[in-house]
Amino acid sequence: MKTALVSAMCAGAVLTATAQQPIFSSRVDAVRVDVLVKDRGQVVRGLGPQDFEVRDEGVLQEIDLVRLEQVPLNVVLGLDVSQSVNGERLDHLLTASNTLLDRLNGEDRAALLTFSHAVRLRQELTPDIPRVREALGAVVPQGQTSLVDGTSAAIALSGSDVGRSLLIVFSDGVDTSSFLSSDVVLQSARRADVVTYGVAVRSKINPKFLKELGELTGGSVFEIESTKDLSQTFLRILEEFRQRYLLSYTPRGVPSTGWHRLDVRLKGRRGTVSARAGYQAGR
Amino acid sequence: MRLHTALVIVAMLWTGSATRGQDSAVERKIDRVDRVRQWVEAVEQHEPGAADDSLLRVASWDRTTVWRVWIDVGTLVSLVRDPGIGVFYEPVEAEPFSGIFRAQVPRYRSRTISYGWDDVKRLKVIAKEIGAGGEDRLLKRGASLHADIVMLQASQPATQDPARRGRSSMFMVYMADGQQTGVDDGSFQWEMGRRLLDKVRPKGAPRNDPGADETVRLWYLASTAYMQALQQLDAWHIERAVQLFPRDPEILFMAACGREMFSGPQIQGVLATTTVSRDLFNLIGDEGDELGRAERLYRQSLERDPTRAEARIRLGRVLGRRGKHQDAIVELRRAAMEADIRVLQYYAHMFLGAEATALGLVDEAQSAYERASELFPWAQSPNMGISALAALAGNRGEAFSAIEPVLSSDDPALADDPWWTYYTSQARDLIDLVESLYTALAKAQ
Repeated sequence: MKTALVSAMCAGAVLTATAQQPIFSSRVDAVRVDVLVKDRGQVVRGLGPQDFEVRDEGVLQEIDLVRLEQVPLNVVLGLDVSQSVNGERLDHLLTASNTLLDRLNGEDRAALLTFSHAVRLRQELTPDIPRVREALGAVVPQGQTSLVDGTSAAIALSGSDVGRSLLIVFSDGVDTSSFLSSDVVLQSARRADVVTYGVAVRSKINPKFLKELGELTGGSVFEIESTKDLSQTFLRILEEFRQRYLLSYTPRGVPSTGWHRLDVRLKGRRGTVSARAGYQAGR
Repeated sequence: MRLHTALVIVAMLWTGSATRGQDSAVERKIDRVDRVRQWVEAVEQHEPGAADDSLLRVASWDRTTVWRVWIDVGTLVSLVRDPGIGVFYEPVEAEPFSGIFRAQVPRYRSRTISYGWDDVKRLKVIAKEIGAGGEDRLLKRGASLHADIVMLQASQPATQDPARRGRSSMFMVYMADGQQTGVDDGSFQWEMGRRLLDKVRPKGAPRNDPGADETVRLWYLASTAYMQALQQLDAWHIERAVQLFPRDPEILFMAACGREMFSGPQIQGVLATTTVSRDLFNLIGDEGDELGRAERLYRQSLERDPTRAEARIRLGRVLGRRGKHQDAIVELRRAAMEADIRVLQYYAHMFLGAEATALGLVDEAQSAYERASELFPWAQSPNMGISALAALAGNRGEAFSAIEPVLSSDDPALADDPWWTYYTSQARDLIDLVESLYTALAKAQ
């Protein structure tokens, strides 16, 4: 396998620490792209590298396909536990989270972060799933909603040198108390290597932030009518994430810095491709 | 003073004369003079700031009774100022509320009040007791009493019976976390206070001019601070305050804070989802409108008092939210130098960090967030800012390590963050403001 999974994904991860003038290193330059393929709403499985075409800034790249069964998952739950998530909604949320944890495999890891007005790291990434369950049990809904702040922290938490990272962000309302602007968090999400799925309770308020985050990271948003079927939604996300393809390539013929627009297509097949819109390399 | 945390929005609904004619004329003739005397006595006997018997008596009156008292107080004031007057007018809202009616100023037309001869004689006796010049004192003390009813939480539960509502009605939309949690009949005590103060006429002035009176100014400052501290938001209240005191930097500042609150996600979230007709909140605009109003008011406040660092901090934040990052950072750099209270220094550095981030000034942003973190070491938001800077630079490890300590604390007391109370922080001197009002009333004895 050309690309070690311990590599830090998109080139941004190899920036040196000087924040003012980050320097792009050519030492590690592998780019991984997490891809979902659907045809008429159904996930398409069994594809090989020959079925994909990846263009980085319009330049066709030579790709490799990582075998997903070799790659453990890092599942981060970013859960809204504000005052409005009380009573039945909380029950549904806890049940859904535990159901999802039940489906993780031996090598998979999970983490729990909650947000009301305060963001709380309940459990860092760990293969010890019972600890995550225990942390879930201690959640008490209260306060307002810092969706953007919570998402920012969850993205930071989900970064890992091992495995594929899935972030599920659940919120039932409007962001009322974040300090960070959504623009800043969306911009930083471009550099992260995590696929984000938002789950929002349908209301008159458009979950714009979660939608944009999903589009940027190759995930999506599920707008649910009620939390009653939240377990099914979480499982559907997990299942869908497991059925994705992980493409890898070493960029050729493109600048070593800046925003790289990605275009992933199928070759000679019908279907829709979901992948992150691009990646940030250097500055 | 015990403050509760219910988030309330108040909108005015001018309903016309829903209860007119419900009571018999005879009953009104008998009761209304006695009632207004009770009110005058209660106002005289009430000790500002005390939940005494006088306050509790008036607090037990329903909206219709209070409304009628207001009309008769108007008659008394007229009799004090012109003892020979023989025709009395009752102000009536001329234009009922409708979806397209944007009432910037409530407009009144008048109709005469038919008092019996005996009623007029009795009212003249009360007016004589009040005495020339005493009516302003009565009006101001009366407004203070009605404010105390709210602030000491002595109000009777609002009635749900539409038949018992008075002619000018309000409703409140209760909110939590940006969502409507209930709708109820609104308190009318603030409205009574405003209407009483509208009749204040400084000595020798040819007409009512409450905007020239310091006690009225203090009443509006204290009441606005109280409402904002409890997030009981009434757009008309702050509009009226600015109408009366358009050049007062403190009033302009508090009004600007109110507008900034209206622009915030909690209020805008409710406006987007409320089951109450959006038209009824016609004094509250969308986020952009309210930010524009807030900016204008902060600027006006600073024009009259450039040393007001808190106004400059908030102006900087509003400018940033409006996308005027370059203007914002100029104000915030200055405010960070001038702010002399720890919490204000914190806000100044936090917003400076945000604006520097938006402008790509990474070192300045980092430095500002670090300074904010020094001021409140366990606050989350500065670390969020530092983490975001690291994430933007692609430094994943630092993005996490910046927030890990403050997100993992199990002690809620350690995790206190002034950012969480930003929208009510301007009212932190509420007790002092109320005390100033009481002192002014005492001096007017």
